[in-house]
Amino acid sequence: MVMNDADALDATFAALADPTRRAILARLASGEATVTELAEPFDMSQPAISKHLKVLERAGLIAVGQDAQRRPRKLNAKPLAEATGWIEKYRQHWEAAFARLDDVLEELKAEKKDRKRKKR
Amino acid sequence: MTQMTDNITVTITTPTDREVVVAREFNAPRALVFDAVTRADLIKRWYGPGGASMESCESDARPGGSFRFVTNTGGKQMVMYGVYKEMDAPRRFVRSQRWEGWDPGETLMTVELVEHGGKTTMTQRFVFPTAEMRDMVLQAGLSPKGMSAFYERLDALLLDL
Repeated sequence: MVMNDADALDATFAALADPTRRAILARLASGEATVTELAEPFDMSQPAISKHLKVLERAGLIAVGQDAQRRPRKLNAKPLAEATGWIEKYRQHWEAAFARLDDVLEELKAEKKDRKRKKR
Repeated sequence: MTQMTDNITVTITTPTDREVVVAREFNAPRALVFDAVTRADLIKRWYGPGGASMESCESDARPGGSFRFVTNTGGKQMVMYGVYKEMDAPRRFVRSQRWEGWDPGETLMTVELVEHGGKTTMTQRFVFPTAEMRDMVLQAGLSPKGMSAFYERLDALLLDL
């Protein structure tokens, strides 16, 4: 079970690693679109876009909409939420540790100023 | 406490399936940041999962010098130890990390500090021995709660082997 979750997340992260694919997701966040519509703003051939769409589909990030003829793609936000939630705890760990580090640095800076003042 | 905190965000990226890169800007000159992340008396004041106090902290920040961090979260003692492999103060250092009582292999951490206008960006690059370990660490978040989940997952994983 652990491995399956991790595999799914790996697929999500791999899919998100590419800027074109992130742009496609951003576009789909505002509503479904056909392959032709998606290809337009990217200055890419339809086969190239289709390749990206396949990666996104495999990662479960997009799905094909109802219309059998137009086959519009639509966003599936769940794996995205899982991926960001997944890393969120790790982020919180570092945010908390670094906030404490900020305090240590402020204290060090103050100590340094103090020492300089005493020298004068 | 610090008024800058609002703008300061931790950037986390996963360049490969065995790596994690954690970057953050600090409002202090590089030499101070370097001290705070390598000197035992200073590490003690901020390191430690979920703000848990460190039971002990040794850090001999010289090439070949060793370190040993002992933390205790809710009665669970954790010991991380290793060796400073490269040391280029105050710019960069590389150290190996292992956990006592659990040995999936060595994690390499490379820390780089870049100063710009009195501020310092610290980048920590972790290369884990396996993709599985990276995933577990990312999932656990190393918080006390995350850590116990981490051990549960580890137990489950070990049972599967």
